[in-house]
Order: sequence, then C-alpha cells, then structure tokens
Amino acid sequence: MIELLIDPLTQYGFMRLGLAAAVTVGVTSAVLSCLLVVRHQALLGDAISHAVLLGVAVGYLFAQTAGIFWGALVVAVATGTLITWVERHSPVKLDAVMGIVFTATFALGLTLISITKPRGIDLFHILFGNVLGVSGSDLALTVASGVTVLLVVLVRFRAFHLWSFDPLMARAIGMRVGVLEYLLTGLLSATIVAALQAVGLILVIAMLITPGAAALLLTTRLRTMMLVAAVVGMVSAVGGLYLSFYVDVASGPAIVLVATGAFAMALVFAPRRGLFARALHRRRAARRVLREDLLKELFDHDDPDAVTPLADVGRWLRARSSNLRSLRRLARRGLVSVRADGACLTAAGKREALRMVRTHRLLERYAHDADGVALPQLHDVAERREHEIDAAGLRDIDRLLGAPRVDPHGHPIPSRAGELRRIAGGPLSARPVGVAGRVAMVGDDRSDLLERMVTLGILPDRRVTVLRHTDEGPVVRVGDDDVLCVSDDLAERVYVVSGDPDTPTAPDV
Amino acid sequence: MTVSVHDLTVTYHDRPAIQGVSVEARTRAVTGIIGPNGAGKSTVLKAVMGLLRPDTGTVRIDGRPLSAVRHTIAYLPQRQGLDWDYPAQVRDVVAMGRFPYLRFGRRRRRRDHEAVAVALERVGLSELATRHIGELSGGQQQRMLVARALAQEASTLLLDEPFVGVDAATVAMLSQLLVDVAADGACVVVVHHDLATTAQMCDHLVLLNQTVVTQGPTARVFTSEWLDRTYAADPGGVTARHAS
Repeated sequence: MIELLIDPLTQYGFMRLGLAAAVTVGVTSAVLSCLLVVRHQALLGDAISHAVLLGVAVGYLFAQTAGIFWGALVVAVATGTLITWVERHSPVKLDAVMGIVFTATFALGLTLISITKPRGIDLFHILFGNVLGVSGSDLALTVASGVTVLLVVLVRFRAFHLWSFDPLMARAIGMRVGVLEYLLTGLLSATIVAALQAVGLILVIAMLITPGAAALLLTTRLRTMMLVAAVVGMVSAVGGLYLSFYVDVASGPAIVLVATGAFAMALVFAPRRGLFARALHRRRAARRVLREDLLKELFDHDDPDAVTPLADVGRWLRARSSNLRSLRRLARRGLVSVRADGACLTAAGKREALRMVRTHRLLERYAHDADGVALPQLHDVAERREHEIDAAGLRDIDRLLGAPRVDPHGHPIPSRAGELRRIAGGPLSARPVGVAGRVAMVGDDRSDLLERMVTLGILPDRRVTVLRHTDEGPVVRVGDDDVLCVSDDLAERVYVVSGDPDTPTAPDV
Repeated sequence: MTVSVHDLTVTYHDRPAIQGVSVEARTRAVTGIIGPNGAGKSTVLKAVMGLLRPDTGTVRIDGRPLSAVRHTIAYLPQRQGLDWDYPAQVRDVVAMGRFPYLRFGRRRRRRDHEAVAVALERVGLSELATRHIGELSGGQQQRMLVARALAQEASTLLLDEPFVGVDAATVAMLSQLLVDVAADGACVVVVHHDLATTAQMCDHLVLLNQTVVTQGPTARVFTSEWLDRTYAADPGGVTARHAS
C-alpha cells in the first residue's frame, strides 16, 4: 500500500515536482476560497481566472515563456480593479459587471492567441492544467506566490474577518476597506497565476469555491474553516494526482473531482449542518413535539392518576398520523406506564406533563400581555412556541411577567416546583339557577367558542347568574344587565365559582 | 462625548432624504431619533459615521472631526443586514470590538480577552460564548451586537432599530443596559420606530421627518401634539399620515 504512494515519487521526478505544485495550489486556493465563500463572492475567482488568459497571451507576446507569469499577474490585477471600479461608478450590479468583464477579457485573450499562434502556448494546458509538466522554476514561482498569499492572509486575518462579516462596522471604525478589496483581488490573481500549471484556468475556479464551501458545512469559525479547507485542498491535490497517475486521467480534472467528492460528503454527512444531521434533527424535534403533546393529553387535571383507555390514546395518535410506538417510547423513558386497561402517567411523567402545562400557560400569558395576541389565538401561538423555548427563556419570561398565577383564560399556572392549584366550582351548564357566581376560567380548546365568549363578554372575572336552563342552553345574566342565551357547547366551557375564587389544594405530585 | 450634527443635508438621486438637520446628542444620555418610515432616521446615523457624503453640514464629536475619534464609535447595524450563516462564534463577533486596539498582525493581549469576557457577562451571554451565531435567537443576536460595542469600550453607541424582531424580555434588558452604559459616561443614540419603549428609555428625543420637527428632553417632547406633528407632517405636502 505504502509503495503505491511512494514508488511514483522515487521513480519519477515529474511526480515529485507535480505533487509539490499541486499541494501548494490546493492549500492556497482553499484558504482564499473561504474568504470568497463567506463574502458571497465565489464568482470573483471565476472572473479573474478567465481574464488571466489575456495576460498569458500578452505576456508571451512580450517575453515568451518568461513573460507568462508577469503578464498574467498584471492583467489579473487590472481586471479585478476594473470590475471594482465599474461597479462603484455605475448603477450596473456586480454580477453583471463581472460577467461582462471576464467574458470580454477571455474573448480578447483567445483572439490574441488565435492571431499570433504562439508556439510556446498549449491552450489546452493553460485551460485545464498540466501538473506533471511542471518545471523546477515553475515550482519555485508557485511556491513563492503561495507562501506570500498565505502570509498576507495570516497577517491581515482579523481585518478580513471583520470586513467580511460586517462591512458597515469596518467602515465605521475607519478601516480602509478599499485597500482590503484590492488586496483580496491581488491575492486571488497571484493564486490563479500560480495554479495555471497545476489545474489550469478553468478548473482553478472549482478550487477557489469547493474547499471553502465544504469547510463552511463542517465548522463554526473562520479560522477552523480555513484549516479544514486547506486539508480538503491538500487531500484533493494528492488524491487527484495519484488518481491521474494510476487511472491515467488528466490531473486537473482528477483534482477537481476529488474536491467535489469531499464537498458532497460534507453536504450529506456534516455533523450539524449536513443533510443527514438536519433530517435527523427534524425527526427528533417532531418526536419531541409528539411526546410532549402526548404527555399533556394523558394528563388529567382533575385526576392525575387517571388511566386513559388505549383506544382513546390510539385515536389521538392516529389523528396526529402516528402510532402506538410513540406511547411505547414514552414507556421506555419511564414517563408512562402502559397496562392492560390503558395508559397512565408515572410520577416522572406527571412532573414532565406539569412542566409542559406551565410552559404553555406562561407562554399564553406572555403572548397576551407582551405581544397583544387576542384570546382566541393564544392557544395556537403558545402551542407553536412551547416546543422551542428552553428553561432559561422560560425563567426570563416568568420574571418579566412577575410570576403570574393564572393564564389569560383563567387557568392556574403550575408553580416551578410543579404544584397546580385547583379551582373549585363547576361549568355554567350545570350551574344552579339564580345563584350569582364569578367566571374563573374558560376552556381554550375551541377558538370559535372563545371568539363568541369575547363577543358576549363572558370572560374570566365577570359576574354571571343563570336565570333558567332551556333546551338550547342556559339563559344567563352577564354583569349587571346583559341577558343572553348561550349554547350548551359554550356553557360547558365556562367554569364558574361562587364566593372565594380559588381554594388551594394539596400538590398533585 | 457629545455628538453634534450641524445643518446636515443628504440627497439620494436628487430627492432630499434629510434637510438642514441639526442634532445634539449629549454624553451620559440616551438620545432617541424617532419619526415615520422614510423620515431619514438611518440616514442621520450613517452620516454621523461618515458612511455617506452629505451635501452640506458637518459632524463633530466632542468638537473634533470624525476621523480623529472613529475607533471610539460603535455602530450596531440592523440585525437583518448581517449574514447569520457566517462562520463565527459569539466570542468571535464580540472580539471584533477589540479590533481598533490591536496592533497589526499581533496576538490579542490579556486586556482584550478580559474586555470580551466582561462584555459577554454584561449581556448575559457568557454561557453561549462558543455557540455559532446562527443558533442564537433574535434577542440573543442583538445582545451579542451590544456586547461587541461594550468590548470596543466605545464612548458613542449608534444603534439602528435595535428592537426589531426582538422579544419583550430582551427589549427590557437591553434598554436597561443602554441606560446604564449612558450613565457610565457614554453617548447613546438609538434610531427607533416603536414608540412604546421610547419614553422610558430615552432622556432626550429628536422628532424627525426629513427635517427636525422638534428636539428636547423626553418629558417635554414626547407629547401627542408633537408626535402628531411629526407623523402627520408631510414634507411633500400631499397627504397627511397618522402615527399608528
């Protein structure tokens, strides 16, 4: 195995030179690709590399092979400058300016080459690279520009970091961002010219995007992103070169394909931001929502030890397009005990359910008081938020609201220790005639009925008296004078107490 | 630090954004700039930072031109303008506040690390220092940006709509923090379109609608009469809008 890697190097000098050149180019362009990717400027490399063809043609015209490097460098910097200048001084946007400038310089380069037909320029090699044809002096130039580029990035790292994250702040504190912009263009140009031999003008574009994009998926900091990108660039260079040696394919494309493979792997398998991890995360989140909702469903406020028949649980789960497996998962976690006649919450399950109830009701209070959400919409809003908020967020809300005791529907909010106050009393539908009472809470399971209660003014703390019960529902006096007939559906959801509103009872858990 | 803007006029494509605006924002005070959409609030901020070239007018900070004191000015951009997928952790962004103090290419010193730690502590984000910025809630993101300004030890803080899309708990915390920062000797300028939190937070208000309608202590200026004038005043003279 080791021989497979070493033999080509000891036997062929061109492999040694080629490997050194490819690795230098791979690492340098990978580091720059990070800056381009985070600045949303991936196409700048594209633009400058096309323009380099013109530089190659012009340089050769002046000084044959020796002029190629310098011609390319001058034209690349000039093109970058031109792009920046046109963009600043005309309403045309950057992408269009780049498109125009790079195709124009590329066309001009091609024209020049087809007119002068220089014998020393192999168009195919310029465009697609010929890393195995690298000479000693080529390598020296490549390494020199690579090292220069890396040093500049290292020294100006913090400036690039700040400028690329928040350009407005960079300008506000007086950084000369124009200088940075030209500096980046210059670095790009040097890298592209150095990459000419290794991967060629067209394929270097990939090396100026792909390693950075792969690294972005794998890291959370710019400096680690650059390190990871450098590794990707290096592995691509080495892998591609050996691939081309043993499988006999062109080296430039092989290097690019290895890099693309690395990107594809990162895209799918990156620990946090990969497709796989995100799908897993979504699935876990969906399961958690289901688990929390199921706990709330099994929790009976009147009788915490109640056993819910399995048939009922099954119906509820099917309505959420799930099955009894979710129930079994809860049982495995020790939150639910499943018996022959049904399911009931364990002590831990009750605690968890009370925590959910507390979260939900605090969020309702918050949505009502702080965001001004109307009563009928509260339940849905809280339902959406309750699965996302963490313990710290909930504590903040509790503190901000001054540890409220009831939600806007009048339901008691369990304390942080998990104590739930009971509210004595009964529904309006079962209220004795002629006895005045106070609305303690209203049911929040049907927003249409809540809507109606808001219209009728049957809300927590209002005084109500049933005048008589009819087939359509009770006739009720609300407050001092409004007399209304309400439906049984609604009356069942209005909870009325006489006298002292809440009677503390022993904690449920 | 006193920020004084004198006779500022800025035009975009021949249309005046602000005209003859003179504003004074004092040290040890929170100054709010409020007015309807398109009143030129952000334009004033940008001009103060020299991000755009005014047609007329001067900006002086403590009597000195901007270029002399730039590093002591912290600008908090609108949260929506930043890329939250950017590879940076909370501590990295806060550490950007130290940039003006760092020598070219040198490592950070202990003083810089301390400033970052203290700033994180003050906004309550110490535990999230190594979180990726994209994993923060809107309120936490805004707190992080304030921490960056604190780490910068800026004596002038310019905030562009800091409370957009931020939960009420964070609004309460941040406005208290800004009041504290001002009390410590800074000049805090907040561009605001939400009137609800303004009165309790700002000592001084500038009511702006292309021109300064009025400015002064909040108690004197924050009245329905002045607000009506600000939000109804239509420089084009065509329609009258009302504050919502």
